[in-house]
Amino acid sequence: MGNPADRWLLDPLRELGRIPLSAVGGLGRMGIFLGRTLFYTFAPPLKFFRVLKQIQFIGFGSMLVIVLTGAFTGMVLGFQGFYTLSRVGSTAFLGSMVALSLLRELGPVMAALMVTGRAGSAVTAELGIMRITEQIDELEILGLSPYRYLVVPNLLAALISVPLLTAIFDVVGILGGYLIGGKLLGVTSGTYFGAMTDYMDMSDVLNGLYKSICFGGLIAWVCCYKGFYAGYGAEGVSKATTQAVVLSSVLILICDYFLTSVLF
Amino acid sequence: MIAIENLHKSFDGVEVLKGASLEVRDGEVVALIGPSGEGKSVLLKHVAGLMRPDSGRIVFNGKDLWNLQRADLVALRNRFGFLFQNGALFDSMTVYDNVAFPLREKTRLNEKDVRERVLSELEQVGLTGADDKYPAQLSGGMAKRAALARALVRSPEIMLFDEPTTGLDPIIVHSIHALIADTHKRLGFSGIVVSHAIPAVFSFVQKVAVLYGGVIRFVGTPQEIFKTDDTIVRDFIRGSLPTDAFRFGEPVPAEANVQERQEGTV
Repeated sequence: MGNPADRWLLDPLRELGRIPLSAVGGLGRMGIFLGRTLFYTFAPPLKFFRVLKQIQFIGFGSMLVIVLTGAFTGMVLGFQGFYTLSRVGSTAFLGSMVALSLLRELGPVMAALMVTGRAGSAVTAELGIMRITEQIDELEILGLSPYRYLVVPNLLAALISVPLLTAIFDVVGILGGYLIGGKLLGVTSGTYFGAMTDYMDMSDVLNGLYKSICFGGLIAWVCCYKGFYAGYGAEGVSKATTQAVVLSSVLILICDYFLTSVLF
Repeated sequence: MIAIENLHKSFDGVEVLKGASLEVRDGEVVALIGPSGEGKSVLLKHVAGLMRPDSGRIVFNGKDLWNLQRADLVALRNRFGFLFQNGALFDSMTVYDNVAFPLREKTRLNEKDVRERVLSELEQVGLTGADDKYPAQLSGGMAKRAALARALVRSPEIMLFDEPTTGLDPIIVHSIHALIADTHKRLGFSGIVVSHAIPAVFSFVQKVAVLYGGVIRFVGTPQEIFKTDDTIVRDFIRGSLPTDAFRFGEPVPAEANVQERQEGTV
């Protein structure tokens, strides 16, 4: 190794090899983390009050941001949809267009992105701080599983909260679309809401629900993993939080593409 | 009995432990001393099962820690107490809830008995009246004592102290040492104390071990360490070890713990 030729030749190769190895290692660790989380999800006892507390934090705490983004997304859809449809004389389809866009695509994706930004980042930061201050190690020392106490409640809370928040996002969005299309641009309520029932079926609602459940699990998995294995000090936690938000958001959009391909 | 056998551990190619071996008999408290960055905390975390050795064994009463079934490991951990360097108090809980936490989670005591035990333990560590405070509202010494109360509340058989007095003033150092000595007399635990408080720590331990260059270089009684012929050990405890000599073992990189976590613990 002391040979300069070896150093010039092997060191760059070694560094190059480190990149895919690190990526594969990271994926493996995430897989093991998910496996352990699922094990403790089904192995009693369940920390019921911690689940409720996290539902309050992830679900109820995100309501305002969901209502606001849902309303304005629906209003923008109302405007854009009305002007696009008016070009082909089909403004009667505004209701179904707004509802289908929200239920199938925008509702699950936007709600998941909002939950990632508001609650996912907070979960990563909280777990990261618990990690660097050895609170997670303390749980291990007490013979208690950090997965059962810290990760499982977040997973279950996200699986329950994100679909409910998505439903709220959808409803508020549809009403936002009606506010613009109906009250401002003159589409009657009968036309707006009637078109929805004519051109939509239950599978649109259910597929949006399936998507939001997947996104909920994804957010909890990524954000908990990043916090659980946060680096050292304030910089480590801030880096973990950024990575959690970016990775969750990207994975939500990638996952959305594949789910759309499969479900619709 | 706790036996640390030929422990090796590296982080990013830097070998921190190079075959460290140590025995702690039942009821015995050992002071683990040595220059900063030698891996004393790393060694302690191996004993607690928070880090996995590259090679070597941690043996409790003849059983290898890393060969235990999950249930046996939990049973062993139930006999453990660990005082972390910064206390590791749960910052979302009050001092009372922190101390009550192990009792609520690991015993079937009713709330009245839990309250009795917690208040008694807080009294022992001199924190009466601080039970409704949050960790952020405590001074360093109070936080250490609260963490000590939590570690001792289940009357552990094995206690591990990671620098219990670092960063505290001499009066608090003395009171914490007295507290450890009292609780040792009361509970009779076996333990390891990682400390830089030399020679104060010698006042209540039965044995002293010096970690140097990745190995346990000296083991003996507090009296014997002052008479040793080993110049490195003698100079270290007299505080005259030249700074260059500290380089014998490379300092533990800050990322060591992070890497370890990603490998997974017990």
